[in-house]
Amino acid sequence: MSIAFRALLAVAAVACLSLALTSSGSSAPSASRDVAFGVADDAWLAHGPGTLESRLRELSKLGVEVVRFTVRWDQVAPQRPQDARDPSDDAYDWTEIDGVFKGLRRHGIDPLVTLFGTPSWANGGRGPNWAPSSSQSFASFAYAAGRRYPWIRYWTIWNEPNRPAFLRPTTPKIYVNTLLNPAYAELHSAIGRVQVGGGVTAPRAGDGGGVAPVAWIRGMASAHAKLDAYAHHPYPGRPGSETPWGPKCVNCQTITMADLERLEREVHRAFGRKPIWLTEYGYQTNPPEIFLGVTPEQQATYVATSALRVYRSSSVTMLIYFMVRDDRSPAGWQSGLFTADGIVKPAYAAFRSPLVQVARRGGRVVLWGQIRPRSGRQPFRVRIEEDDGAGWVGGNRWTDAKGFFSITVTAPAGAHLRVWSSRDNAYGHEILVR
Amino acid sequence: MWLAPSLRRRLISLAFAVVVMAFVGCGAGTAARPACADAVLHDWTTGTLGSEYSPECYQAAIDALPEDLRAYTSAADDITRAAITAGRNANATRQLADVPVEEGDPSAFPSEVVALVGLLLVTAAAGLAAALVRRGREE
Repeated sequence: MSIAFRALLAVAAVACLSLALTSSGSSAPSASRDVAFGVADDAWLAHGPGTLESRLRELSKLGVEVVRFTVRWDQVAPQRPQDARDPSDDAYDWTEIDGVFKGLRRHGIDPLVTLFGTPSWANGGRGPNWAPSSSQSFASFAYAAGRRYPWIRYWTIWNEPNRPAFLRPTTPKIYVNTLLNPAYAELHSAIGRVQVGGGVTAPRAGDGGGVAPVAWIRGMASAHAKLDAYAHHPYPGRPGSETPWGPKCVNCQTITMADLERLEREVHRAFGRKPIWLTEYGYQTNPPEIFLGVTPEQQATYVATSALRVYRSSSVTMLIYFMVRDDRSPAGWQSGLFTADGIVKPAYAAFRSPLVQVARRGGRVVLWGQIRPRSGRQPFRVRIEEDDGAGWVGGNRWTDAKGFFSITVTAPAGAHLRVWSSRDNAYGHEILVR
Repeated sequence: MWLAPSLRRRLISLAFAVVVMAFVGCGAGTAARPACADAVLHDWTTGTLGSEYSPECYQAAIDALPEDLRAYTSAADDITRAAITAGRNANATRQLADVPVEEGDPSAFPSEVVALVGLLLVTAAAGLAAALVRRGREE
């Protein structure tokens, strides 16, 4: 036997061994990513049905790690404080926020604070979307908020300032000089290991004087923005036909989840290798949203697929799903995990235990997923349903320490697969093998 | 406050114009949008928006876009693009219709008419000839 032939045999043997190891239940991915999944729904969390405690328990059941919550400057400080840097100034009212943040802390859920909304005394009597006349006023409020909640690590400055609905004048220079940089400095002086996210951009300019996110990021860089992470909202531009993976929009100034690589490229070029937080994202459902909605099953698929999309990105460290429960008003937003009447949508299970078919070769199917509730390794099984019956695919498997798994199972095209989490006593959402 | 008569007249005219425009504007705002605007929005939702609608339908659809669609989706851009394509197609069709089908003297008789008249003349001549021959035999 020649040396070349022996070498070929050795390579083939190693390849067979690796294939066997992959398919025989080595379920945890080799290198787990540190990405946090959360939700944002201020109205539901603060004033939803039931008690605050029951809503927090619901979030724990879902495996939520982070909750984005907006602290409205104009509502906390409707009157000008005597000493704006002192959180105990009589003009400040933190009552509602205290309750929410204490509850989140009790449940081990990280808040992500968004500071937003100018009081009329700080901008010459204009609306909350108008920038303050002086950068010092907002900086002092940020310092007071930081002193009030020094245990909160994640903060973002403003909401979608690239849209006039949220910031006027709508320019990156005003945003950086009046809001972001002053708040960044004060939060860092108030809290030791704080991370301040800037940008918080909407996916597109919209009409009426908005600025597209690509131009906004470049403008922020020109204005010497200071930030620890860049925050963005990659809502789909065409929900009916756009998945988290595509189609991609070449040479666009907009940034949706399908164009995540553009966001990474622009952020890294502008600010270096900063982490990216996707602080709002979601798919509305039809019913009830007839123009923007996808079917509840599609919503569930996209919730799971976007998790994999983010997991595979090297720079996204946070994905916040908006929202928990649909708006009661038909004109409102309808991307909830629950309907307005509290009925669970399939996306609920997809959020708690996402499952995605990554690839299929013949009867071998590669699956990716996560069991989100709790921390540490989690046991799970895979349930298969076909026309001629149902059963389990293999035995018990284990996730990695962050709840992620990547496995290969035997299942034919057309079969339905679900993950069973024994500790949750619940199934994840169902996927169809294609 | 004292105002010069000419300025006062101008202000009154301006106020009248504003009132008229506001009235017209309100009327337009409250009018129901055409059904084809809903069809345009439906087609955009399903990803099948084409260029088969009239310009008014696209414009009405854009005017009717809810705020969340306008702000977060490409609906306005997509519908505008479809409207432009529809406009181009309409122009192209109009230009095609304007192109003469045949070149030549437009006052001349069509060839089909000439052929028909010729056939009639030949038939009549043949009939006349046959009648003359029959009369000659009888004599």
